[in-house]
Amino acid sequence: MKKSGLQDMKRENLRLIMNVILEKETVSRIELSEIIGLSPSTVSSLTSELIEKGWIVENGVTTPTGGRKRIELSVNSSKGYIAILEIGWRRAVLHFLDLALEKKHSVLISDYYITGNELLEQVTHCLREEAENFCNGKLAGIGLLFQEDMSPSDFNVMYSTSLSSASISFCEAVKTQFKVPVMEEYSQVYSFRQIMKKEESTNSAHIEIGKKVFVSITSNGTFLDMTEGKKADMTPFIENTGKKMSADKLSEGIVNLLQMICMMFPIENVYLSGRLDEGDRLAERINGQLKKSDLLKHAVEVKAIKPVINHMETDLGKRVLKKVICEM
Amino acid sequence: MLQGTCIIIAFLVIAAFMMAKKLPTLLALPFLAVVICVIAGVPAVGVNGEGAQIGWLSTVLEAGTVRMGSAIMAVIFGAWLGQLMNKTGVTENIIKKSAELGGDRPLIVTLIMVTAVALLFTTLNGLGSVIMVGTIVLPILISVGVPAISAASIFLMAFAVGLSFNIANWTSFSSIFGLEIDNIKGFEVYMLAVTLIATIILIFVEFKKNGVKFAFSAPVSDQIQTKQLRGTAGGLAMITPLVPIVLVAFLKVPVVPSFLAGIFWILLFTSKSFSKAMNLLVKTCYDGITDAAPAIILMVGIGILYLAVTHAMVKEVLNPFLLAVVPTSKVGYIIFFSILAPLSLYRGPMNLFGLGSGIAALVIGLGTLNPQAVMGAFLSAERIQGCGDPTNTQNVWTANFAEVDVNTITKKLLPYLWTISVIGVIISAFIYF
Repeated sequence: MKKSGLQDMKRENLRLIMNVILEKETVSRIELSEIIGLSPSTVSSLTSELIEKGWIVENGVTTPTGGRKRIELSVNSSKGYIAILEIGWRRAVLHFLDLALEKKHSVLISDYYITGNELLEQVTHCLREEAENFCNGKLAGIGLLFQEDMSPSDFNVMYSTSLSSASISFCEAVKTQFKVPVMEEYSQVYSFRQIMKKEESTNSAHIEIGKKVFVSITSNGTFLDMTEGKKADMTPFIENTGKKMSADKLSEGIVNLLQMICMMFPIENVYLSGRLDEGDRLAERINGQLKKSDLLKHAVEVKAIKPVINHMETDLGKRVLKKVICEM
Repeated sequence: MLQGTCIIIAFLVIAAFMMAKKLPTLLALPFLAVVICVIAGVPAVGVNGEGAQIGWLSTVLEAGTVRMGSAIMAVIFGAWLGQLMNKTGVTENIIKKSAELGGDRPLIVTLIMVTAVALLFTTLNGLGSVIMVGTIVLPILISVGVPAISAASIFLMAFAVGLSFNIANWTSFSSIFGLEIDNIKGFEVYMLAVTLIATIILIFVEFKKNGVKFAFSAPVSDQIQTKQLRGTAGGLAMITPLVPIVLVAFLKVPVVPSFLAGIFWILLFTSKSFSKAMNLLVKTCYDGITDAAPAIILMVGIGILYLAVTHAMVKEVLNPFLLAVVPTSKVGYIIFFSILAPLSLYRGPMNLFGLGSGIAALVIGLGTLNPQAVMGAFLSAERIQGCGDPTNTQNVWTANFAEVDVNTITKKLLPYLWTISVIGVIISAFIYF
């Protein structure tokens, strides 16, 4: 049986208020009261507490409403900052966002592949020694954005005491190091989510072709858990992807892969992205081969797409901030 | 005599290198095994009069890698189940539901947290799981007013309570001592009881010393990240850690099938669809093997060292030394192993996950002590190592997370752990002599 005390209820209400302000960007107390369904006096008392703690500010914008002035509230951008670490094979970049989710600065951590331990060391140095030069307040949360064909296990950290050692995920190591909320996201999943918003496809597969070949599957609009988080490494099904392959071999490999996937999942649309020279022609060729296949019991359409990567850091930053609010 | 002296010197030198952090354990054990064989005059390649292999390349290095095979498999399957518990939200739910049960009473919250942590670590293994559990439990303990150093110490003691009933560990001990799992269980029951009592005493002492009397409730929020397990299925999923224990300890089912039953059980009560369950099964298997990797490679080293010290030619050289040192009377046994128990720290000679495995094999090989008495002595010493060794990854991580000094935790826990060891040795003396 859950025991919800007054403290818990108050904490929950504070979170609700923070979430609404985050979504709306600016909002008045009376609007907050209407949206959340709490009395104006309760909202007023809770917002005063949040102002006192520095989470929100009265941003000075006043709107006259029938003779009375309405003061807008917004997240206090200088209360702290969020760090988004973008991790790819060739580079790692640390972006700094204030709590209003405005990007303040980016630092190139490395322009070549480095191990999890090296990455952790350099990120720690940057956050502890340099962050204060371009951000106010304390580190509030961290987002890890794994790019393209990266896998979080490529950056596992060796936690060693010299006599004993264990391999832990980069996320666990970052949590241990900074003791702030940490979120992981994959750019592939992110861009796929953007495509799904546009295409309204609920049962689909996304094949990312790069040094490795990863597949993500959505069923009824939900990402399925797979062997690498929200994606699975299917490289062995498409031979020799490290080298340049002929279009014939590549399409043949993808067709084989799709036949297998479609036997297990009710896929309607397939999206191809990654290192594709002529994505549309490849999709056309695959569609042609799939039509001839007698293994498929339903129609599947293959499209080549370019990942939507705009505002990825901001989007992840927002989700990190929500997690920070959740744990405040 | 010269050979024996050289082997003991080699033992001491390599132990010193390990303790000075110059040589990792996973290298030290096979290296020591080869050095012992070379000094004892075991040929690299050779056959005896009956045509059987006696060379250390095949009988020690090759055979040693699979000597602990069953223990390695138990660790892998245990880690697989552990990963499933973490990924399905069972671990998190057990802790959070327990914290809710405690309400706003710090002592009750702490006692329930200890129970939850102990229950979880009967199945969980590896630093990943310690992090998973620790990141939830430590903030809860600290938030109810338990000082950070006390919270870290209580958490590690609770971990040690669970560890005494960790059946993957039982299999390792069974391989090291050449005893049945039932024998290991028979003694670990006492260790569980003694460690639990010591943990409760630690909690009361810490609460009294620090005057813990804060009464606000623990911050158990329904965070968006938490997978909520509800209803009968959720309740049944949360008893997953008990499934392998009940099967092994009470129904005498072998260890790996018991873990498989646990895996089946948790999937049955947490899965929403067959395809999702299969995906999760594969992913957690791979992640579990990664979690178990340090233990696996350590066990390969233990197996090699075991076969080195039990090689007929090595035993011949070392037996006279050991006969002079190892006690044969009950009182001598109690005094000898009680005093030496702290040598399990820093991967010392009483540490079963280090040189201790070889020494235990040597002592059993002498034939002057009942193998179960040797097991009792070493498992008692293992209590000190399990949660008191400042070189354990779990100790360093806990200290780091709670922002306290790892050596302070060892100093705080050592009186309790040494007492547990002494009691363990006394119990062992009375039931196995």
